[in-house]
Amino acid sequence: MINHFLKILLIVGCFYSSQLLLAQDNLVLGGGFQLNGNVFLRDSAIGAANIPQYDHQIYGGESWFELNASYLGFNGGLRYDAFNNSNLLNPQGSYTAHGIGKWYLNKSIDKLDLSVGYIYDQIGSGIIYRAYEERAQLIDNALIGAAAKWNFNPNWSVRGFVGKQRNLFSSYNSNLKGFAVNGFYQMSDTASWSISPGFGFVNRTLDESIVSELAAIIGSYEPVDQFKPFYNSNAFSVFNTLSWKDITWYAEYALKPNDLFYDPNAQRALPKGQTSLGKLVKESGSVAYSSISYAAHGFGITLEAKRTEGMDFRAEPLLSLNKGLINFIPPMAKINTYRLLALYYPATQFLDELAYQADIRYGWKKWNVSLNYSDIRDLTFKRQFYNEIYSEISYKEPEKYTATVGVQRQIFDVEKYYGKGGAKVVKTITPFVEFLYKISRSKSIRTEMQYMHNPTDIGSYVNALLEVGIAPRWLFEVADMYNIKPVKGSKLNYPSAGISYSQGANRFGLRYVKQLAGIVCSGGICRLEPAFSGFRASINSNF
Amino acid sequence: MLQTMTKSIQILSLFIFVGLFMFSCNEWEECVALPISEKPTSGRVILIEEFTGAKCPNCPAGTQALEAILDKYPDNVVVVGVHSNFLANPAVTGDPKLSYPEAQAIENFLGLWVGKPEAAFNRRKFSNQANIRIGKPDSWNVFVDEELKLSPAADLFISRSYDTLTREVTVSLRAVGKENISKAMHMHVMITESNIFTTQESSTGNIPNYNQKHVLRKVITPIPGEKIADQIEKGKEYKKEYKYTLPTDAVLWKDSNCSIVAYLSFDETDKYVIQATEIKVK
Repeated sequence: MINHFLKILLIVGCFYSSQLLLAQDNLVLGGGFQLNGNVFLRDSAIGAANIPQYDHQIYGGESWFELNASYLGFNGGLRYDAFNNSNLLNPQGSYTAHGIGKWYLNKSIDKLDLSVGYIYDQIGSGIIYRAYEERAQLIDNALIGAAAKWNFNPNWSVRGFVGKQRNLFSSYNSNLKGFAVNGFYQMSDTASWSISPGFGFVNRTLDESIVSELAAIIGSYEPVDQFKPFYNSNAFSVFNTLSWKDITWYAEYALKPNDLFYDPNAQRALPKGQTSLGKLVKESGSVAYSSISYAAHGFGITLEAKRTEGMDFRAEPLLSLNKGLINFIPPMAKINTYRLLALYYPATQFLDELAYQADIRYGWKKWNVSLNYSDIRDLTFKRQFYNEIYSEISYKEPEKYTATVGVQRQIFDVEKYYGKGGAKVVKTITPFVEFLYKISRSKSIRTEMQYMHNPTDIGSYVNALLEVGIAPRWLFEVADMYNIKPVKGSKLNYPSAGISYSQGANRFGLRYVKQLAGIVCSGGICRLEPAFSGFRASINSNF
Repeated sequence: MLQTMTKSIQILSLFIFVGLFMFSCNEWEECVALPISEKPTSGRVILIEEFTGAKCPNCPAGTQALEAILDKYPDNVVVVGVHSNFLANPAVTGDPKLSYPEAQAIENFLGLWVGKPEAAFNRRKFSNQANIRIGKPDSWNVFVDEELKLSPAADLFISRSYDTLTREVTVSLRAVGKENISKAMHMHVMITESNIFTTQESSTGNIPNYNQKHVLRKVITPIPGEKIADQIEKGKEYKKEYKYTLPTDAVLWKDSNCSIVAYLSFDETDKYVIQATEIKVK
């Protein structure tokens, strides 16, 4: 199949080349290159051991080379992916493979937009369908197939797609198809309000081999848990954005009736009357999500709420963790960038979650204030999975310095998110400071420090970072994370140091890193997020 | 403008109607009948390696699934609990350490893993699975049933003698080829121990006095097995004898709790287990 595609690309390439001589001005080429190289240095004290990379492979890496071209209304692209002793796919293992990771062709004919190849898209906020790439976790669930979009009037469009979800260099055994209608309406150009309604539908048809496998598994259950499997599952979504003056309100409701999926929390009967957790179920799923925001005169507020029940939607029902996800449910917690503030992050729950979040920002002269509150619970609202209060205030003296100070308080249910049964709920308080000083127009120095007070789990940590920038080329950093008050075990340092050099559109980086390990359990499966010890080199280029 | 909006809403309604129409697809679709599980008649005894650990909260669910399989096929299944990697450390200080370098060597020998609990069924790489080791305990019955349908390429018979004073066990093994197969055959022998009581992490908290069963204690043969034939010949006998002296320990190595597990496999590149057997040490 891939050879066939290569031939098509070759023909297209020849077509481009021949036309290049005639109409070179119209041809636009672009792309990018990313390379990560790792040197694994065994350090059993922090748990950087017992995987092939530390035991004997020592070197590993991955790279992506992408070329895109536009000519005479045609758009096309090709990406070549290579993995060598990579631990991106599975932190416990080593992955080596290479090949064409993506190709696509696209052409607009009047009001019709046609695409074939690897297609990225989403419906609404992605709750029933999102094909996207998240390279840091090696998620790339592009649709391999065809899509068409018809802009039947200036404000309204309908699009449809059909294909299979990408699975590394092959695809999963199910067919996906769907359509979405998106629109926009404003009474007049001067009207203070407008709406952007939409509707989406996705169908998944399982391959016969998958259904046979499901039938065999369900057939092995006790009669009380048995049901007859089926080939097709559907999901629907209705959404709208209402804009009125400075207020924007988004609302979406998604429904997935009678889907067949794996529920790790469902009780399965065993022959002698005992029960065990985890089984395939036939149940409906739904998500209600809404976000309302107001922004004007330096003040901004966003309120979000979400209710999720049974919305695990995958290309094959037996997949777990981040494999084969058809949909994407928006997370409902602040994404923190400071290292210690980001240690405990609540993974989105597909089966059982009630969450809300408020974010307030206010800028006054040289001051900026930011407040965030998020709360995540089970569907009964009785069990709290996660709670975060974040506050930050910064003062900026233009061309001189910026000072930031803040504090974060977290409540994190380790039992829920890490699967550590009976573990105490983690409660942290983390104050932080950051100071950026402009020495000159091209030289700057930035320092940040956090202290995480944590009487349980991994104990209390302190993290400090010093960064020196010499624009536009050099950036030097040195940092250390230290468990100043461990709950158990000895005190350890997790130092890192790095240098990066930019030249035009090229960026080269080299870092020495020691990174903390952690157990993550999801879908009934536990896995070790890697402790890392070693060097990381990177090259990023855009052209 | 209003006309455009009306037309657009009409089209949107049409799509919603079409969607709702398809809403009930599941009821239209011909559902797939469930297969009926049959008693095995092949004479196959399969080896299940359970990858588990005292610090693995989800592993009791895997053990429960295997106990149910043992109840269903008591004469056709041999289970070995492989405690290895970080999840096999003691759940509380003072508990015996069940992880073992040879258990880790088996993990490495079988290749990629995702998490725990996982199990390997005759070390077969099933066509619909990414790895030899398979998660999701609710699916394990299927792989057992699939293997039990196949006749073994060789039979394996075991006997033993045990000296209670010296604690030396002598294991006699006799393999008999049932087919002609031009692949090398390897013999594996190991000791397992049950009724080791430790604290076990679980999804609802620590379980004190948890009965760890079929725990791998010693691999007597090399990890890829000992080659006993360059090829399997129908009707031909292959005999081997192994001796091992059980260590003495205050907590572990109770001879009445120990079993000898033996199995035949193809070579280290294939790994597939042909037939397994088990006998108590005492």
